[in-house]
Amino acid sequence: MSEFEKTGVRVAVKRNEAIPSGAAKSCQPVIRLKTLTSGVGKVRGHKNTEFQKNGGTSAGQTQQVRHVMCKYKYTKREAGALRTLFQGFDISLNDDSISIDQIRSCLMSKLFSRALIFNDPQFETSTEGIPPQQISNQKKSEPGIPNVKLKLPSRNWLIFLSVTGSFTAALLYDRYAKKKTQQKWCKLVSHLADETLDTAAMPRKVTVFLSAPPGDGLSPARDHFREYVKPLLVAAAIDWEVIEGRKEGDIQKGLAEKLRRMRRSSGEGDQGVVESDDKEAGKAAVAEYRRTHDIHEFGGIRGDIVLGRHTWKEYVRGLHEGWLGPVDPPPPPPTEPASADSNLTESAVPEPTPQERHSGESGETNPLPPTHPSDPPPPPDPPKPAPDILPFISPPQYPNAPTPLSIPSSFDPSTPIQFPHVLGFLNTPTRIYRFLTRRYLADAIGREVASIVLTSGIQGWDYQEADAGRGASQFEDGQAAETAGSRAVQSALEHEELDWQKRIRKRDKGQEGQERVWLDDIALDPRIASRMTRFAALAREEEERAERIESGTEGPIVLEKPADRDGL
Amino acid sequence: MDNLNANEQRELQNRVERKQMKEFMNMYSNLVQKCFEDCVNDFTTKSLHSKEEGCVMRCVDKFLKTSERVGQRFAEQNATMMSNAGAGPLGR
Repeated sequence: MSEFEKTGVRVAVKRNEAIPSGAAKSCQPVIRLKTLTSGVGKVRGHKNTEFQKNGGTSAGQTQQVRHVMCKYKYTKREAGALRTLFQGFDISLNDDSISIDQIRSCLMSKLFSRALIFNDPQFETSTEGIPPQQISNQKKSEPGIPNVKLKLPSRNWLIFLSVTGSFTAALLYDRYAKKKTQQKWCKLVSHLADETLDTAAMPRKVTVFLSAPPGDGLSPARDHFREYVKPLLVAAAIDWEVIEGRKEGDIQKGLAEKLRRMRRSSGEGDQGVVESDDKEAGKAAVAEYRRTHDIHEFGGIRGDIVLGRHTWKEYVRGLHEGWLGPVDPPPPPPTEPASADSNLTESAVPEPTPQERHSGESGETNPLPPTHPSDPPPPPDPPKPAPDILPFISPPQYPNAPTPLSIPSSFDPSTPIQFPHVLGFLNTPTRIYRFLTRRYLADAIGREVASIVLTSGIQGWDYQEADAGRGASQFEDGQAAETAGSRAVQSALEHEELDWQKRIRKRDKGQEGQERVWLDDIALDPRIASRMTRFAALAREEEERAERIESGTEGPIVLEKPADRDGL
Repeated sequence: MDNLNANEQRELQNRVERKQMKEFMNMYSNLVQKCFEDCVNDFTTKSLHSKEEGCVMRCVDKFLKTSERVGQRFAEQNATMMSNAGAGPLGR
């Protein structure tokens, strides 16, 4: 028995008959068969199979012998295949004729139908006198323990599984960590949402600037805002207003227009201008309603959130245009070249036709007086801006521009928020890396937005850690501080420009002299630069609280319920 | 509206007033129903617990302030639409 255990396939064939003597064909009643790869047999192939009777030929000839061991030799190929396929199985065959072909076909069919594995002694005792067919069925129906071997999948499968598995694991972990990080920052600010707000008061409102990244559409910018900035604003119950730009220059125009409107409402420029835009008229109506019904806007610090380097450049340009440029549209350069700078004239040369058409229209439909005593540049244009209107002021004109009367001593604090966005097939590794490490981005942006939301302080752009001891006198520090501030404004998020496509960074032929806000360096006027402010970094105690929230030792701040405070 | 005589005017006014009254009562009963269901949960005594009372106060406060705020926003919306309707023909 142990011999069979060691070596390969065994086949038991049962038949209750005496064994006739002699020939291999008659070796019928119960046969065990095993494969051998080496042995005495000289013969090869199934025709020349050699059977050996167990226990000697004499016993087999004379008695009712139940078990006969038949060793037969396969070819090497057959033996190998059979051994690997049928290792460890016992097979019962119930056939009278015992040709090797039959054994083999039987073997195959039985094995393939997951035939029963059983031992001969059991077989012998339990199946006394039962017809062979029945035995076979009976044995088949009993569930045996299949001898399934555990083994590794093939090499290719292993490679495939490990690559996909590790990518999936990295992705899932990143998203999990990102979610946790965002929850941390949301919990840090959520107490602001629980503060009671008077019915006649409006919540704090920040302005969000987002524009389509170079070479792409607006939706990535929107998604970025929705993904990383919005959750915190919502958690802190802060309202926001979005200034969107679909193409280069939109943000600049939008912000400048907003600032000009503000200046006009405080008494500058042409007061006769009527808002033609439906949206603006509606806004004015709402403001009027709020004024009459004593609904007051939020009085504290508001703040500007600027997404990405490209938007930041436009934002700074828009600030200059809005504050230093004229309130009313300047005259079109071709008609009055004397008033315009040479640069502006040059830049306006490629498109004189719409401007001329524009001015012609205005002369017909809007007979405004050519000059205004209050404002040096004469505004013959209608208030409605032409779609391709030029900026009201160009960077070389900054130093000569008059300082507006209504300019505040410091502007709303602004924060550039990073907006990593890279395009292109060859950048796939970078993109995959960023795709799998968004948790760090979420953490960095969360910290920035939390500092906006919590507003632990406001500082000029020239503020540096070393200045902390000197306090509020930084504005008077003179040239050094001013240049430091300008540098800080100019270099904010500068690394993002490396992600921009070459196509974007190349100027169109024939328009080399024209201004490109995204490509030109940020030009700063000291008057504007010194008034720009930013939010102080998150206070250390808040940072520590965020850490405690992350580790789960502390929850968000819970405010007292008003009723509890009243002692009810 | 101008071509109605005095009687009809009075009738109209009456109806409007009745309608307003009805709306107000509706709102009031809604408020009472809502806050009662939310806050009052102990019927072993006929007086209100301090906890229940606080809850009712807050509930009513919340309801009224919400409707006030929503009303303001609606009025603003109305003002916007009015201004657009007025400025529309001139602006274009």
